[in-house]
Amino acid sequence: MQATWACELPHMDAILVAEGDADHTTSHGPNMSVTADWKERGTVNAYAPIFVLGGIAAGFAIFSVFMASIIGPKRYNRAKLEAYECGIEPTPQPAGGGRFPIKYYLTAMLFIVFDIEIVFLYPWAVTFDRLGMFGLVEMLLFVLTVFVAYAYVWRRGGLEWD
Amino acid sequence: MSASSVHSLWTTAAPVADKFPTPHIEYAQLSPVLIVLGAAALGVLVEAFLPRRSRYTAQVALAALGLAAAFAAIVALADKGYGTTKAHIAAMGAVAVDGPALFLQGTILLVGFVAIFTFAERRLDPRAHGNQVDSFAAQGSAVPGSDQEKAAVRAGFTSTEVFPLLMFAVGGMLIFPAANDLLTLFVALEVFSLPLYILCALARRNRLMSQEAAVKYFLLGAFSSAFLLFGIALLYGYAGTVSYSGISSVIDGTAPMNPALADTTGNDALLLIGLAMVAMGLLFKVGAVPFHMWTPDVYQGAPTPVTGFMASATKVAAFGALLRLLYVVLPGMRWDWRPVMWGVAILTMLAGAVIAVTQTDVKRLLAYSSIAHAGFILAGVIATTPDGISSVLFYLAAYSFVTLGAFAVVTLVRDAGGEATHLSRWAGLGRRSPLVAAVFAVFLLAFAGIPLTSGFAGKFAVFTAAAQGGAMPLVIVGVISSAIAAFFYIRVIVLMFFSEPKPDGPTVAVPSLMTSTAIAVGVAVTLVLGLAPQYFLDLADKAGIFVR
Amino acid sequence: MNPANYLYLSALLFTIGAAGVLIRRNAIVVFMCVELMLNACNLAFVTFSRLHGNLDGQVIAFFTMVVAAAEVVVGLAIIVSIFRSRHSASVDDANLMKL
Repeated sequence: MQATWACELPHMDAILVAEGDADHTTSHGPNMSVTADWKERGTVNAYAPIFVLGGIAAGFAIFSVFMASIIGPKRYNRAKLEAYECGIEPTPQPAGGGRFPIKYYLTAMLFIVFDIEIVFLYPWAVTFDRLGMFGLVEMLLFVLTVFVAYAYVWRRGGLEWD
Repeated sequence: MSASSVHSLWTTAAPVADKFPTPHIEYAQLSPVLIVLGAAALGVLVEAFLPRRSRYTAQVALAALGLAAAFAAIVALADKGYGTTKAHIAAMGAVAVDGPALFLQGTILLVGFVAIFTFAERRLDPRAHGNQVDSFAAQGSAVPGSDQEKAAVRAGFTSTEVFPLLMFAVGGMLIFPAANDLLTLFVALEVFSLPLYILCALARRNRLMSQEAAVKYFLLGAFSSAFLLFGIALLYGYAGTVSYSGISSVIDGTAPMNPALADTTGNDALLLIGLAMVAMGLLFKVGAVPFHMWTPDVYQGAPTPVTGFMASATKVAAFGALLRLLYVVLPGMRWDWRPVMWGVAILTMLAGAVIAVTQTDVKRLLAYSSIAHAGFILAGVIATTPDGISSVLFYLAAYSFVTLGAFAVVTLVRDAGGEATHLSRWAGLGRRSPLVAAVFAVFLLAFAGIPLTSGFAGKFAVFTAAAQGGAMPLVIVGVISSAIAAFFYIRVIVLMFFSEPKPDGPTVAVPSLMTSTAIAVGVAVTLVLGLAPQYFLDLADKAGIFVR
Repeated sequence: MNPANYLYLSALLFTIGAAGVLIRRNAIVVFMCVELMLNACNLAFVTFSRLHGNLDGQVIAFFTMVVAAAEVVVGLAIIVSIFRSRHSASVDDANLMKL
């Protein structure tokens, strides 16, 4: 079975054959030479920009935190003690035990509906350049249609928590 | 070893596709669907931005205008010959533009147009705190009997969302009989089912029953569409494609077979099980026995205008899809599916007619009668002749207007609790208001298939086609169950005209022009198709060729 | 691994879902079983897509996910509304319209 469908997918051949004849000599041989190959070509150069970028990012973060603690004003209020970007404060408690207020349902459903639209955006984003103007226009129409639903939710108060 | 040769150990370079063939969409040929769905989206915007008191007028006008424009587009397409000579497959193989599709789409649009009138009726329900209300809930989300609901009724709210929902449902139904691959079929099925589930839950009176009907319809509908989807998966496994022509060429053996895929491609187990499951999903929507369990409960619980729309338009769309599936995809399989369909058709005709005899509620009675009618239409589907197609098309057009009219009459007979649907309450209606009873009698006679009504012409066409297609036993069973069905239709007529009216009987509300128009259209179509069916039979005949 | 095994798994999941719909009494659980059936279909689609070496099945799986999400929203709205008016989500309690 495996052989039959493997030959149907030519680009998978290499991996499947290697797995199929899982023989230590054949599978290790090339790998050793790969590592050697990388070392001798000094591939580190290729990673240098990434390390530099990481260094700059870390430096900026440390700099910001450090500078803020020196020159920033120090005022304490309630908002600072609350969860930061970790969801909403847990005010509406389940009444009577175990059940959630209906608001959670609404929020979750709205999230799902708008979240799932991404499914169509991903394939488009992958082939965006090749689909050209046609894809762009169709996708704009699609997003516009989703926004119609969004406008309805917004005007009907679906986005208000209380 | 060079870098490129190492790389090629575990990857192959993807062929650099310079450009996709940009999909080609024939917007003009898809315009009926696009107009309806566009009007539906506009309706949602109206709901969002217009002040509450002007929404009703705007929604009714928008919906009516959208459906009328879409119908004009259908007529224009048919006029250009897309139904006959220029029939072809549009939108990259997703949608067929051919005779049956245009005929059924036109029927669905007309049914939807008339249904808007029954949806928009505002004079039947007594005024609530001085506000005219229709048969839909003041606020669908409010708990029945709660303070929130009372406040909504006091404020004169109405669910004007029903109009966009109706339009979305119509849009899905337009695609359903024209779907030319299984994916489009599934998406169209859901597009028209989901709005119907919601519409079922929105009755103003008897809200608990309405919600219950919606839950039952939804759970069973979702269950059946899951079966449909698994069937699609198996057919995809069988043929490696979901397009109708692709699958049918694999069945015929004309498609180039890939020997490496012999286990799946052309595996008859996949084909037979997949076919059975897809057929199951479609027969559920049609309401054929043994997938009919939802019909009576949903028909009874849903708001009556919705029931009328659902009973007629869903049947048209679902039978259209079933026809296309059986005639385009599976002609090579007809010796396999015909015996099964025979069984289903016989069961459906007999069960629908026999159980209807015991019913005491008008809406349930009509529900079982619709099951029996699904059986009659199936008899025409089984014929597998060109006559079979055209007779089914004609029957669907005739039946949908009778149903719509009959349910519109049901909305008129009322007492303090809303519609009086119990049969005993209808006793003596003919003495109290002869006109309404006479109109209802016309519809019942058409259901029974009495000559000079559209029901007779339709039944005659379907049974003739079935007999010519070699299904004589089916015709005999059909005639027997027609006789059983005629018994309970006549019984209702006798009850209305020849029994004493009860002193506390229901009143017949005087409808506005809206419902009157709907009923008048129903009567007119019933009589015209009954007295002079030839023109429409010819039309259905001309439209009866599927494109492959 | 033999891709047919995925098909067996998908058929098994589908059957579990179908059995759950028929056996369970809570509307929410029934509905979850329907979702399980839809996801079993998705598994079958991607497996066949792999077998046939074309992408149709994977695209269909996307559509199924979107349809399933829309179905969840509509279905839960209906179930929640009936639960709020009856304080019960059991399908056995939905019996106003027994023959």
